[in-house]
Amino acid sequence: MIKIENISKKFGNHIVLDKLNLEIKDGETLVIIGRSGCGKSVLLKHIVGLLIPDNLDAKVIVDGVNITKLTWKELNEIRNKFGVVFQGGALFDSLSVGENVGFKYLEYSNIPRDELYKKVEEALHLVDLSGIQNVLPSELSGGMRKRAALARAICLKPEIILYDEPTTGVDPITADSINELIRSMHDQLKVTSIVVTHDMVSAYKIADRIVMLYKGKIIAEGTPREIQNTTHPVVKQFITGSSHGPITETIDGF
Amino acid sequence: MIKRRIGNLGAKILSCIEYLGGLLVLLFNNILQVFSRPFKLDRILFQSKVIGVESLPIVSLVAFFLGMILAFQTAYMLSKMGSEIYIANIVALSLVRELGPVLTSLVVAGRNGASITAEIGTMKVSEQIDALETLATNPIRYLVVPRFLALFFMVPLLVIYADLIGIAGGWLVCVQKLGVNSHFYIKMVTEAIEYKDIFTGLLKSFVFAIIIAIVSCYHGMKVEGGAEGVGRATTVSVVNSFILIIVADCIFTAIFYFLK
Repeated sequence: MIKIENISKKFGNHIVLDKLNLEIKDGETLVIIGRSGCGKSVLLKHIVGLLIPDNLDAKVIVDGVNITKLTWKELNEIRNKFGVVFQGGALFDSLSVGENVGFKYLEYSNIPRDELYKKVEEALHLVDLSGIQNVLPSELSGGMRKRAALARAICLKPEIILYDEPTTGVDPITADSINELIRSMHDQLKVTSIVVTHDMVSAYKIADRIVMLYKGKIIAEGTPREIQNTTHPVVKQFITGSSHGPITETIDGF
Repeated sequence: MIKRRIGNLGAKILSCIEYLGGLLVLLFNNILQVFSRPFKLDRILFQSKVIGVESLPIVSLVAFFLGMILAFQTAYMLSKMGSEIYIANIVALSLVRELGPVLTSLVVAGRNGASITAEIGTMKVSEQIDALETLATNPIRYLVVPRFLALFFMVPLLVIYADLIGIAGGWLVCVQKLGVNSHFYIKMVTEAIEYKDIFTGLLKSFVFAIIIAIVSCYHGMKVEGGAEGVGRATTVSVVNSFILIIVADCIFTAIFYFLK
C-alpha cells in the first residue's frame, strides 16, 4: 500500500502540492486527473522518490517504509518494486529497444545472453512489440515508444507501475490499445497502477478509482461512475471539457 | 544607487561561489562513483574513442598549423637579433609547456565538451535521467564517470600527440623555408625539452581534462526548459570551460615560474 501524507511542493512562488494526502490500495488502478501543469507528474515523482517534499513532516509510505528519509541505497531497494512509464517513453536513445527493456539485467546481472533475450522478448510480446529488439528508439513511432517503455517497466515484474500520461500524443486507436494494455497488466500481473492523465476516455476505461488534483489538493475521489455523475462544479467542468466554469473563471480573475 | 550596485556585486559573487561549489560537489561525487560497482569498461572505451580517436583530425590540423605559425613568428623576431638558431628551442618549448596543452584542451572543450553537455542535457529534458534513477542507476556513475575517465586519459594523450605534430609543423617551416638543417632542428628540439617541461604540460592537461569533464557534465545535468535550455547550457558550458582552462593555465604557469 502507498500512503501519501501531508506533502507540499513549491517551485519558486508557485505552490504545486499543498499538504496533499492520498492512499493507494494494493492491486488497484488509481487514475489521477487534473489540468496540465497542476502537479500530477510532480506527485508521481514524489511517489518514486525522484522529488522530495518541501516540508519535513511529509511522508510517502510505500509498504510501510517512509521513502522521504531513505539513503540512496535504501531508496533503490524500494524502487525495485516500481516500474515507471514516462510521458515521452524516456527510452535511452543510445541503446537498442532490447537493451532498453533489459537494461537492469544488462547493468546488474550476468545472466546469459540467450536468457536475457528470452526475458526481453517476453516483455515485448506482452506489449505487442515482438521482434524489434535490435531497433533503435528513434526508429519507433510515438505509440510504439510508449509501449516499449511499458515493456521496460514490466520486464522486472514490478509490484507497482506508474504511468505518466500514457495516452497523450497518440492517435485514438493506439490510445485505446494502451488502455487495454494497462488494464491487462492489472488483470494478468495483479500490479498496483497509478496513472496520471487528463484523457477522460482513458480514465473511465482503466480506473478502479479516480481522484482529481486541483490547486495542489485532491478535491474529488470516486469510482469512474461516481466521477461521471459528480455535482462538484470544478470536476464537472474538467470532465466535460467546458471552457466556462470555476476553473477558467479563477484563471480569468487571476 | 551605490547600495544596489554593491548588492548586485554581492549577488554575483555569491552565484559564482555557488557555481564553483556545485562543480566541486560533482567532482567529489564523481570520484566516489569511479570506485563503485559495476565497473563498465566498454562505456569508457566507447567515450575514449569518441573523445580521443575522433578528435585526432582536428587536433592534427590545429597543432600542425600552430607549429608552422610559431616557427614563422619566432623566425621573424629572432632574425632581428640574429639568433635564428634558437627557433627550434622556442617552438618546442612553447608547444610542450604551454600551447600544446592549452590549445588541445580548448579544441576538446569546444568539440567534446559541447557535445557532452548537449547529450546529457537532452537526456535530462526528455526524462531519461529520471528513468535511470527509477531503474536504480546513479546518473553520475552511468553518465559522468565514463566521460570523466575518457577525458582524463585521452586529453594528455592528445596533448602529447599535438606536441609532436606541432614540432613537425615547425620542422616543415624551418627546414623547407628557412634553410635550417633537419638534423640540427631535431637536435635542438631534443636538447631544449627537459623532463620537467613534459611534466608541466602533462600536469596541466590532466587538470584541463578534469575541468572539461566536470563543467560539461554539470551544465548538462542542470539543463531546464527544453531545446532552448539545452542550447543555452551548451554555450555556457563551452564558455565557462574556456575561462576556467585559461585561469587554471595562468595559475599553473605562475606556480611553475616561481618554482623553477
